[in-house]
Amino acid sequence: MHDAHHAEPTGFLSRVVFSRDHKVIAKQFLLLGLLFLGLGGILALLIRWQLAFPGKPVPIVGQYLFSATAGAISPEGYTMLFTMHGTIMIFFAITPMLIGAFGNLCIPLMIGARDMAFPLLNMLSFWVAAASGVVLAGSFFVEGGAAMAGWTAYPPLSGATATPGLGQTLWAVSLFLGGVSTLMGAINYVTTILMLRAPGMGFFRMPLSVWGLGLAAVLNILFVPVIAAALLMLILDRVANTGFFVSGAQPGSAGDPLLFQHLFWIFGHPEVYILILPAWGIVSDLLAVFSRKPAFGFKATAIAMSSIVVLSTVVYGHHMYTVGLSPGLGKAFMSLTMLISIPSSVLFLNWLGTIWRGSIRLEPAMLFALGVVFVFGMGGLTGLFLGAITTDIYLHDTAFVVGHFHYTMAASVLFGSLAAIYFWFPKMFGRMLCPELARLHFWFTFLPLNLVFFPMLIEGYGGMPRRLYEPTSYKYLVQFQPVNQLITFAAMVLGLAQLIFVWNVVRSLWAGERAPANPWEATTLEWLTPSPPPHENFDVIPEVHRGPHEHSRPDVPDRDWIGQWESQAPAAPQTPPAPPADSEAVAV
Amino acid sequence: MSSENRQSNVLAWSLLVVLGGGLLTVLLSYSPPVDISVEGHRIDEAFGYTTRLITIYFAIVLFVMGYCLVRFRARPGHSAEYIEGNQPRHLLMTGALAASVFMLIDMRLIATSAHDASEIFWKFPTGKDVVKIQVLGQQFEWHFRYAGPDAKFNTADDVETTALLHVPKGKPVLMQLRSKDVIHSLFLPNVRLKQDAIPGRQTQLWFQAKVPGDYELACAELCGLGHYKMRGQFIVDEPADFDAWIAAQSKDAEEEYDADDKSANWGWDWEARN
Ligand code: HEM
Ligand SMILES: [Cu+2]
Ligand SMILES: [Cu+2]
Repeated sequence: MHDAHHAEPTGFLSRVVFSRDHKVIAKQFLLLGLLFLGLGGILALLIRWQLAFPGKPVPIVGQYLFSATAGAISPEGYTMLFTMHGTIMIFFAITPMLIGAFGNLCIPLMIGARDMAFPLLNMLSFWVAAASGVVLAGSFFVEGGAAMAGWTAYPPLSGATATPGLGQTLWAVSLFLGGVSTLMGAINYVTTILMLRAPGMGFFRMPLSVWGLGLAAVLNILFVPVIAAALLMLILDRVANTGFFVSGAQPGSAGDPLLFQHLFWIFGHPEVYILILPAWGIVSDLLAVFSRKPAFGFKATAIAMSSIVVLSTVVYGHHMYTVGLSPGLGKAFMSLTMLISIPSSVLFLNWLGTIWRGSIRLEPAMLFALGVVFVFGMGGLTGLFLGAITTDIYLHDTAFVVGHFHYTMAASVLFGSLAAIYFWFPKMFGRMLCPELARLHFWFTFLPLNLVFFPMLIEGYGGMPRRLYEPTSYKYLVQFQPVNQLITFAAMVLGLAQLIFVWNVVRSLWAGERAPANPWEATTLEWLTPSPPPHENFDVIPEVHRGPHEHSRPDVPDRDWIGQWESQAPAAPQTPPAPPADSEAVAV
Repeated sequence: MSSENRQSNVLAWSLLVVLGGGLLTVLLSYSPPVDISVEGHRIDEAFGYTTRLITIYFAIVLFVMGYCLVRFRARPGHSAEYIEGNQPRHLLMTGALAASVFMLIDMRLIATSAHDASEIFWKFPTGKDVVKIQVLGQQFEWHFRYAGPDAKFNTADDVETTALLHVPKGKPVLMQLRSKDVIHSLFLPNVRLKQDAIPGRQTQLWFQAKVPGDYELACAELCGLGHYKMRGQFIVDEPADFDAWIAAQSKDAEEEYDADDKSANWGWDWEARN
């Protein structure tokens, strides 16, 4: 399909901006994701300020951002903040980083392909994503401001009567465009994995990162069209008065607001797995590399991930226990939801099995991978209460849910992305990051993060509703103000700690040590190529001889790894080939 | 690792444990609002034992993880053992552990929750002594309506309140909920329940209070800019006080009744279903 060499393009535009090279597109997605992560983080801090010090002017930035209210956040501003924070984090920070950047970087390199199956589509996928990001960011500046119906945008609140501004329409348009981009990417990923694997790369020789990314792409192909349909109907309701989701107070009058919830969560539940699957795959691979062992129960992990994919399509009703489901339906959704804990336990056990009797190297990427195990454990276990009908009736729409989904989605995926960055940065940019700064970054992220999200569980169990502009408006919540202040303080430390990361990246791009081809002594195909890999990745498509984590094989002398590409163990300890002198180091 | 290094490591970890433990103790000292309902304890109990079980489970996981990180740390002379974990005995072990976790933790929660949902919380009471209340959500107020002495809704003797819910102690209370504009969710933390009010639909909620007092009710579903203000007072009366309150309110209501005021007479026929 894509075997012959293509000449490397030479112009700046075709090499850096409108490039079809998956590695360049990966960098573009990474930059997009990190920029939005920064923006989303700033919004989160503003939300936290209001929750800790309701109505007090925001220090330093308040006078510029909220000049009309003397620096304080209004209910309108607050509603915009959490709506945009949630939307940005999910669709414009986490998705571009894990799926956009590492999907693009890893899939072709790890399966031994020269590029994606459809490079032009790949380029379009990025530019549509960028356009949708511009539309969303632009919506802050239109009259009436940005969207104000929460990231879930339930109608009728998100309809034209309750939220008339242009911002809400732009929100829907932007997400629709984002869906188009995601779909283009997903089709590309699945085709590439099916068609372009190097000779010998059977499905059970693919790294688990590729499994996770591929399964996420399958879910995207199945469910992005559903949310796209819902968004289209919402847009029509808003601009053409169609009334799909609009109804009067009388039962049975005209449209149905619940239709949107069904469509939203049919997509929305798989979406959380779309986000976490790549992280699971990456964690499974990294634990193996840094324990110098094969991933324990490799096939079982792959099958567990696949069965979660199947289950994730039939559990969405657990988001709707309070809408008045029939008891039979509620119980069915509950039982299916709880079944997910079986394959999840398998994943955990296999992760523990991987580090068991390993030779563990606590490189920064490993720290973040272990961090995922911790935070995903917290998130998964607190999910039990929300999957069970009766406990969810009490906890639904409280801060408990916010704590839970930040552990599963925000923290796990964030740590997964950071682990991926620390692991593949040398491959991407040909430079090493500073490990001491990275360790500092880990601890100043991991500890405050738990001080942010764990107390939210407590507040939620105490009955604090989410999306609450002023928690002190309820008497029974006044006692939680010290907790709110603790969370906010921790969130500030968390935010500041990210500067360590930014500094590390910037410093390394200019002055980092040159990366060797295989700095981690890893075994998958990307480490065969120089760092960074040349245009079209491989001189000769490698032949794959073994599974993805062949570490510490007793029959391999002198070395605790043997690459997938190596037909037999080298006789003498081999130094990886030096990077070519003129590698294009830092192009983004 | 040098001994100095090790010492500072130990110091850092002990500091962490002490600080973390202290914070955790303070956080865990918070508890939910007092449960004043006959059935709410079921939710607290399900929450309680699940919390205990998952804490044990997670502690084991973390212990194994910590053990590995110390015991199997890379160092000169130590090497990893080549274990693929694909042998039947490995799969059997993983499968058995995963299944037993499911049976010990999940199954119990599923069973309790399924029973409590279909036999208690979603099994709506019938009979003479049920107190019927109609609830209308509206940006940004909760409205409540009682049928009054004639036991019929939307008539002159209806009692209507805003942001104020009175219920008698010791009698099942059954509510029908509708919404005038957007989705709201009636949240009664002290009885551990919430129920959405959705335009174009009718939903139900029931509970029985057992401790008289003055509590709060909330809106749990984002319903617009005033969502945070959609608070109400939730008063549980002794039955005699409740009857007296209804009688007095009803008399006032009859005097002020205006049959043409459509928006004031928002009630509906109790039997009407969607
Ligand atoms: C790491 C620092 C973060 C902090 C301190 C933070 C904090 C918050 C806070 C305070 C809220 C508002 C909760 C409420 O309204 O009661 C919120 C909402 C939310 N956050 Fe985060 N967050 C962070 C990262 C993330 C990430 C990485 C994601 C993406 C996966 C995310 C996704 C969301 C979503 C979806 C909402 C719900 C928005 C809504 O209610 O419509 N957050 N966050
Ligand atoms: Cu879900
Ligand atoms: Cu509300």
